[in-house]
Amino acid sequence: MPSQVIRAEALAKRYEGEQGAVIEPLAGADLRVDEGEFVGIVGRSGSGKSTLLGILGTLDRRFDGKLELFGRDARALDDGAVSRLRGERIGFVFQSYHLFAHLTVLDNVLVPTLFRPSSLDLSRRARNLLEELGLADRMQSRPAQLSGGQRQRVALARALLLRPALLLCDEPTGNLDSETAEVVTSLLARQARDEGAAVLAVTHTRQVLRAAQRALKLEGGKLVAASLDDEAAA
Amino acid sequence: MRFASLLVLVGRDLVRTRGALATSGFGIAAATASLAFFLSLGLGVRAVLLGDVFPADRVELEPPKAADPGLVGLLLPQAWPGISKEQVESLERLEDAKHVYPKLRFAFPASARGGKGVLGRDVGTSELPGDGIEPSLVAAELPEGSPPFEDPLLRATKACSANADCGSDQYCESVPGKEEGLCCDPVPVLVSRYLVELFDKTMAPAHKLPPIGETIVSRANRVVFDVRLGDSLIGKAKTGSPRVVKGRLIGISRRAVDLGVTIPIDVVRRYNREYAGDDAAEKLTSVVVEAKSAAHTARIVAHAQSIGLEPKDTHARDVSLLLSGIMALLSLVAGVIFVVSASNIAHTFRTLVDERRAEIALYRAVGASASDVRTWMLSLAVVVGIGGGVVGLVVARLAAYGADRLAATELPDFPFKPETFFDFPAWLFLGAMGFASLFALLGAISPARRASSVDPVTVLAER
Repeated sequence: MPSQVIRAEALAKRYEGEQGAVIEPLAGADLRVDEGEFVGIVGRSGSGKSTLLGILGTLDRRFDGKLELFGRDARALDDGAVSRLRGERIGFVFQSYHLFAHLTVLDNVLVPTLFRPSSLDLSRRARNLLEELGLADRMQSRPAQLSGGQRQRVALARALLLRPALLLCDEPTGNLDSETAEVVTSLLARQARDEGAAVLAVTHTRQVLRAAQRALKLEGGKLVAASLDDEAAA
Repeated sequence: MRFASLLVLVGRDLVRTRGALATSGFGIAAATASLAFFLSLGLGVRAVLLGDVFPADRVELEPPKAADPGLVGLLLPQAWPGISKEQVESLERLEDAKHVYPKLRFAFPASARGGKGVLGRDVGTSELPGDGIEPSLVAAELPEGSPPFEDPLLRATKACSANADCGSDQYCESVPGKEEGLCCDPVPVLVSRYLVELFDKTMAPAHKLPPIGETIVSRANRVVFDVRLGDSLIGKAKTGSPRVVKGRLIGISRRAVDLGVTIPIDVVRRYNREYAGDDAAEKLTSVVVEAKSAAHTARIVAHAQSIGLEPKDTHARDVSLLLSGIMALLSLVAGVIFVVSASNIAHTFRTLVDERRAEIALYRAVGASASDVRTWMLSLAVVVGIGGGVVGLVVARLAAYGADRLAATELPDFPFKPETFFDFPAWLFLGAMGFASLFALLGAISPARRASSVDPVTVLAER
């Protein structure tokens, strides 16, 4: 029986927006994700998808409700412990890549090793990942010298370097052409299938939803089951 | 965070932001250079003043001034309280005291003439103050081969009635209670470095005489001069008949009286008995207490005052206070520069943090804790501080070297002119580096907190 990676109950988040208006992107969202599961999440712009990823990825700790990650109460962990958890077991892929402009491709992929407690040399794995993603000849390039698709693959390699048990992707194919989007989507699916990672992808594209085993829609601050047709609504 | 990771992060920052960090480090370097330069100058000058001019680790104690008969006492014998044996023993028991050396001053008028062997012609002084000290006090200071510093009468055996009965280097010394005298070597005489400096820099040029400072050790034994006891420009002693004895300059001593001659205490005792009576022969005029270190001197003085003795002069204390004040003032100037440089670092780091919010947020996303981010920023500041400190110390050392060279060539000679005006002990280097790191660290505290509180969700959503 696969173990549970995410168990969120009644997640709620509210804050004051401009002109004093109360914004409530999450209002009692429930979510369970098991290892090896690929879940796609859709929703309108501003519906709280990124907020949800921030909370699930422990970057945002100011929320109401219950969140268990890998069986541990995420709210009970202090900053050091939650940072370790994030660094060792969670990978992020962002729509706008977020690469370090001053570092080479290879160094960008190796950034997560800086905050690991052990000094394991992962440069070979980083090179293998980059080769696998078709970037063997761009390892010493700077991000500015790469196309959007190449940058996203670098970001993906960085997220996969430490073999995360949970991969959180925010519009991973949002800025990519359909061909590159297909490569990235299949990589995410393979990560869930072959590596047993729980993959949660916020998306607007049918391509990613098709690859996912389960689709959810964030609506009115809650997560509900979605179908491929919801992609158009999103 | 592992140390190796910290090195990687800081190293990358030093390369990327070298311009801004060098500017920050410049302020720290200027402050460190000022602090090290001024402190080393103060320490160097203090070492000369308190080591050679006014030694601070020893104090000469004597009865209160009101009881001092002064020059008049030389001619008009009166009750001189002196220093008793009990007082000396009390001082010897002090834990702060390393040695206690009795001194007995001439209690009679004397004058001197001689020096042809070194100066080319005889010179004289119409008043010759003199101190007697224990030979053991200077035994270690005397150069090898110099005549013993002791009463020459102890080794005299050949009877005489006039100088002509003795060899050319000897004289006929009268022996108390006997009609015949004994052929005696000249009385060994020590002088102070202060007196030699004074002679070389002031008297010798005025009288067109050669300086004696450099030759006094190698040729000192040739300086034999006549000392007329019981008679000087001021007058004659009330008892005893004036007579001439011989003295031989055998060297320079830190323990010698500043102005005058210093000879074995037994000789002074003999002379005082002859020209001023038994009381003047037995009662000590002062004692020199050598403290374990300058820090112990204050307690010795306090104890001396409690047993009715006073320090002969307070130059060392005054100079020490003055130098401490000047050093504190100059250190304050360096402190102000440190504060300014710390605020400069704060500004630079704040700008750096603002420019790198996205990077910091991303580091947080891949596992950096708030503490990691703080450590990273503070380490970067410490490295800037250490770099600035090293540069500052090099600048201070070079500036000191330049100042010494300038002083050697441009400043005229003066008494106790040192080879270097600076002293750079190890603690000064360490202290300056500590201050450099500390102020860099202080400047970076607020930016580091700002960096560690970057909200990754908000910042990453901005792009």
